[in-house]
Amino acid sequence: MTDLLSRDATAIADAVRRQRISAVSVTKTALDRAAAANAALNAFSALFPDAALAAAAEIDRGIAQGIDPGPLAGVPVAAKNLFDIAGVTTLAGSKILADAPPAGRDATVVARLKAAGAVVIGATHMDEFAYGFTTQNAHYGDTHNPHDLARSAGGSSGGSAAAVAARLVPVALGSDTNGSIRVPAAFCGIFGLKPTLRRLSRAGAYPFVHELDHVGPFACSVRDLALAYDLMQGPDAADGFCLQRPVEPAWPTLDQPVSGLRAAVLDGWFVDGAEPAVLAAVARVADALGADRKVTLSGVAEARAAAFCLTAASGAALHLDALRARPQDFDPATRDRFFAGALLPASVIDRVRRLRLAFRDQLRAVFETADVLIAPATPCAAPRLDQTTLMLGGSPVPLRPNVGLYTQPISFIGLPVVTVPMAGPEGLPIGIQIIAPAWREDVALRVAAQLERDVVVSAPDPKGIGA
Amino acid sequence: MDDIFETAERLGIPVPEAYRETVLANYERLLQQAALVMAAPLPDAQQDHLADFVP
Repeated sequence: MTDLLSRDATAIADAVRRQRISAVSVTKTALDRAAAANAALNAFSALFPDAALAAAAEIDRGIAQGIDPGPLAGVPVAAKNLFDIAGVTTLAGSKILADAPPAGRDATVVARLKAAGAVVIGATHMDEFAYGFTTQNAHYGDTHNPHDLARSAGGSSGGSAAAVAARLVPVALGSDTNGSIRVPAAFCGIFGLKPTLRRLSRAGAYPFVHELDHVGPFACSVRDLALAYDLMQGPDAADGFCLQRPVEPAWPTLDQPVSGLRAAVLDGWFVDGAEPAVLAAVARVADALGADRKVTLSGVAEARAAAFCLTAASGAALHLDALRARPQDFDPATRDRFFAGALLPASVIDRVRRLRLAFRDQLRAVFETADVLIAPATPCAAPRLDQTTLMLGGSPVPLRPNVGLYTQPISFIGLPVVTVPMAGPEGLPIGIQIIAPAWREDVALRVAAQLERDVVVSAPDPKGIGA
Repeated sequence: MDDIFETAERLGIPVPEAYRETVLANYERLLQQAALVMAAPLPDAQQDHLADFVP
């Protein structure tokens, strides 16, 4: 069973559907392992043994009656604790929401995974209100990296990434406003997909920055990542921001060759300051894809600054009432940035939006001569949890705001990205962004699948905690 | 910079004294980024609905 849980969702679902193992047995094992590992990782904010075992029993009953529960039959999954799960209070990593009533229904993407047979075993830990890159939380503690417990799992979806990396669940859900799927995927050494902005429904996902929020999956294999993504696609009447696009399955295209695809490496901003091991990882991916062309974008610092400003101002506006009424109940790191954001002149935000259009148009032009772009996800491997500065190009800079230097400009214009994991120095993984044109998640996933087949990328087994 | 807190007070966003030093540090960091945004060259005014961004 332990071996089965260490394999991927597709293998587990296949075993459950063939009745080689029961969904109840899989779920019980996953719950036991998650409970045991959580003391070291602090990846889960809550486990749901009663609901999960009841759901698993229902799946087993259905299979016994000849009903196919779906492609995720009996697969244990987890969701960042900003996704509504019926009967559970949605915390979004905060104390402010701790007294809120339980959610009346599941978030759309949670419901879609459940409808495909997934069993939600728990909610995962995060930075308060998703405002951070390290999953260090004044209320609920830090999430630890399964590859080295003294290091950050990344954030803000660090609990989900740590749970997948530790092989506690094969699939977990996260959100990404400035890098919150891609950074933890990189630090934890797993695959993460940030889909195109407005592709997946955000209904029932606690918001952070309306204009930048994305939701997406983590997994240890590309086929699991694509499967979970496909199952969550489709328009949603409950979310007007989610565009009315048909389901465009990526999973069936994963085996298609990528020869002929034009890959290029992002230069300039996206390599300045990166550690040598990160640059070496980019070079390995570029070599594997035959990417000998480099692209230098203009205005990247400004695009990143614009995302920084929009995040502070929009996040502050969302939480203004609580900031006024109970500032003492925020994580200090969140509160101080929200106060600052509340005081930003509106003229900056108007200009942010104009910059966004110009930067989007620049990338649209780049994609006329390239099919995917390659860039590091982070400037370094996972930092120590007690680390406060990052060496960037030989100079120390504050760690927390600068971990997302390479992710923020890309999410600012909503492009789809798959983060692929590679082995790095000292057993710590490194993540590389495979960036595709808008709505072409299938291309990024196909490239990731080819890199996985060629054993250029893979999710390494964690050393910090037994898999 | 201290008058920023007076402005905040008038906007109904009082910043408690105990938080002002760290809020100010964050505000200064934010203004550095905002200055980059304000100085960025832009093409002529675009017609798209700015808040309804499509990637």
